[in-house]
Amino acid sequence: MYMIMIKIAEHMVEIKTDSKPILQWIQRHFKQVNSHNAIDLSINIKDGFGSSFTNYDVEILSESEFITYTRTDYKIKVDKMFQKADISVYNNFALKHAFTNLYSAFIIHHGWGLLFHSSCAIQKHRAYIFTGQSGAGKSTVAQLSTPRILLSDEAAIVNVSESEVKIYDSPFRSEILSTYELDYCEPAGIYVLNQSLEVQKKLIKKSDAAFVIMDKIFHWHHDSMETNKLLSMCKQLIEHVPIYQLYFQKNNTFWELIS
Amino acid sequence: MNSKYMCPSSIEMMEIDDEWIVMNTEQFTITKLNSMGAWILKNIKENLTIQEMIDEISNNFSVDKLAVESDIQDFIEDLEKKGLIKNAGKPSI
Repeated sequence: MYMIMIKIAEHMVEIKTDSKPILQWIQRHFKQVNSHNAIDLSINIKDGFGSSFTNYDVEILSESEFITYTRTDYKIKVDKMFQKADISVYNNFALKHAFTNLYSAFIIHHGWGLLFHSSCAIQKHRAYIFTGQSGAGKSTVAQLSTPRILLSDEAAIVNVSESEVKIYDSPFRSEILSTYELDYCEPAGIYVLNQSLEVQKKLIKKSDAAFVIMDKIFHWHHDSMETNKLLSMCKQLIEHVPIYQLYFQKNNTFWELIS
Repeated sequence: MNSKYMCPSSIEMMEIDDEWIVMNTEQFTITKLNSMGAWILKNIKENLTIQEMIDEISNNFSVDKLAVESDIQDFIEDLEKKGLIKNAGKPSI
């Protein structure tokens, strides 16, 4: 049995697995630490589950002590306090999605924050978050932002509290792996992407921002109380961070406009 | 108009910039209401009848009761279609 500690945002996560390929995947994608700090989440990962990916539908079963998330290529069983979880996966693709699923549920459960479908780049010590529908240009914007530090290219980790919002370096990446140069950053704004012939930005009214934000959050709904926590954090996010429609061309000229 | 409606416990409301976002946490849907719409929904949560709300609006704003009744009825039907309220049946005497 292999056992390592990784750190995701503020959270210490213990990983146990018998699979060397899984261990190597974890080491490649997450920040391994040597730490005797308290463990926030302990995960046991097994391979050989199910069959290859068919669709994104996840069946959720909430019982008295456990919650189970099942997709054709992964299964997660986690206790209701989100302290210990078992993940069984078909392959690395399934493992990545299962991890995203579990961590999203973990941070929502603890009222700590949200996983937000977006890329995020740093400019002058502030985090610029780029979101939008599939194909809007999140990955493109991440690539166009070179050589700026990226905190995410797919799923940003957003820590939300009453007093502040912080964007953490996210290991949940699509293409551009993290180099862990920066732990977290305060947000400058959230930009909803629209490819256009002209470059401009328009501030979105806060009451309309909820409609823009809600479907960009990684969330597998199973419980009204958890959804209530998510709603409360959305409100705090909207109140702290300006949200814009950003119309951009496929070049980096948008940076002159937003920063 | 003595109909009573009820608001399921899965309905949560939050105010942002004088407008209200209403979420159905069971269906994971959101709806935006203005302040009058939110006032009606909040009063449904507090078990007022439609007639009680009509009376309060027409008295406070000196508005014709029939006009208020028609507007509220349309709005109630819309809330019901969106799954934000349910008809609780007529109150017993």
